[in-house]
Amino acid sequence: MKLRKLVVNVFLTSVIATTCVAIAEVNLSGFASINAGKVLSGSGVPHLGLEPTFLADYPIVSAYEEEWDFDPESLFGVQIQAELYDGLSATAQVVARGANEWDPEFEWAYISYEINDNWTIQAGKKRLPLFYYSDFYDVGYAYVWMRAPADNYTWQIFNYTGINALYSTELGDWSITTNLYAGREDDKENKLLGNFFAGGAEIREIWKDIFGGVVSASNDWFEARLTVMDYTNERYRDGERHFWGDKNTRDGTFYGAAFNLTFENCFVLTEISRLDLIGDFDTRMITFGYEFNTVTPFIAYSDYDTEGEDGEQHNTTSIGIRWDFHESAAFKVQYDDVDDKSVALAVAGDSESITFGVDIVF
Amino acid sequence: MILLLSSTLFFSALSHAEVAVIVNKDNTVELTKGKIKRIFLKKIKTYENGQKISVASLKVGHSASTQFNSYVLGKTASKLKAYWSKLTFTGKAKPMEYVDTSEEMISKVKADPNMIAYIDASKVTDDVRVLAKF
Repeated sequence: MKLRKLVVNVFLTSVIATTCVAIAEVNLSGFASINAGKVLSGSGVPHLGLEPTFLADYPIVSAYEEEWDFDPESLFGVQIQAELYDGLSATAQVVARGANEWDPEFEWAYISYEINDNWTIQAGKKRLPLFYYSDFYDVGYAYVWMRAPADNYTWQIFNYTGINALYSTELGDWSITTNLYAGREDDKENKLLGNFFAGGAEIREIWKDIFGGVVSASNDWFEARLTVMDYTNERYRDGERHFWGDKNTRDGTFYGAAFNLTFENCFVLTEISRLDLIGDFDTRMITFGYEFNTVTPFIAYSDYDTEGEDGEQHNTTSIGIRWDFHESAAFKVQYDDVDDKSVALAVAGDSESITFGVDIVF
Repeated sequence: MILLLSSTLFFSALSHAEVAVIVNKDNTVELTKGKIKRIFLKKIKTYENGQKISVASLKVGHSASTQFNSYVLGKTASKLKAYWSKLTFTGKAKPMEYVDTSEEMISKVKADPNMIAYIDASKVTDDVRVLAKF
């Protein structure tokens, strides 16, 4: 992972440096979220020695406890985009998170080439587009809640390095976009699996032979997004290859669908997904909101379910308000009631929490 | 005095910041409001003749920009910003180009045969062609 990071950094730097004369434009932009939260009351997970905790974000491991904390969900992201020459650009996005001691990481680093009006080819490191909100997950300003529903965005791998092709077109009143992607991700020290679930063991999580597709269609009031992704999972625990039964790899298929509706000032957001791995892991989410000029109250429900007795099972009911108090900033406050029904596979137990913060884009 | 005051009020109630969508004088394109909307959301990127459309908007906070966003795009400044952030931080579109004044916009459109932009309708000059007014 370090070598690949170094190669990507050097590649980007040398591409930008050697074509300095040819650069048409360099754009600097970014986003930031300053959030704070606390668990008002919670059960924790006594048999795993976990204090009352609200796991607001699984892959990043943004965990709140009973003291006010600004670190779990605060972040600062900067994007540099260099347009090299006609249609070719290089983009890097560096994000520093309170949850990771504010160590900046290259979350995105890719080159993009616009073949024509419809097709664009990209290659490099990007967000894995499993869910509707995956691509802009870190840009709080782009969605209504404090964070995309935690019960849905539970997967420990959320980036990949590879190649993808974007196709977009207009059909009457509809905008159609598709994305076909392939690649892999090798996370040497997976934070969710290692730090959170395995008490500090070093878990190396590999998702390889990733191949997926996304299709979206939208008009003025309706939007649909469908996706399928296939991958092969390998894992190492403290350097030792992990086995599932007698196999050291397992294949998974992910299916997702999201449907959004707007009707005058009301909106409904929905998303369902299934990961078919060793059995099915299902997620669902529904959100209702109403836009009163600059204030948008919302209510949401999300859940995660596995088939069979005592699988991992949890849900969250949330209510909150987003206030667009400035043209580039939004204030949010949200109350979350988490019900963790799992026992053996308990995540963080039940909790009732409050979180608030400001999201900006620049 | 009262008559003068009330007639002034009457006229100011009638007038509002009108927006003029402008193109280069050599650009003969005709566009519906729906197509204009999609061009300014970068959903339509080329003219029917295949030429790439270059588009620019007045900066956020400019009265013509507020008017345009509301009448043509049907979005508040925040919703528009959220729309762009979904595209620009995910590699799906280049950011919208913003210009400070109608005068600067006219110079840009005069220099680029493929540019579409909008300005305060009261600032229209002979240097550009008006496509539509809102």
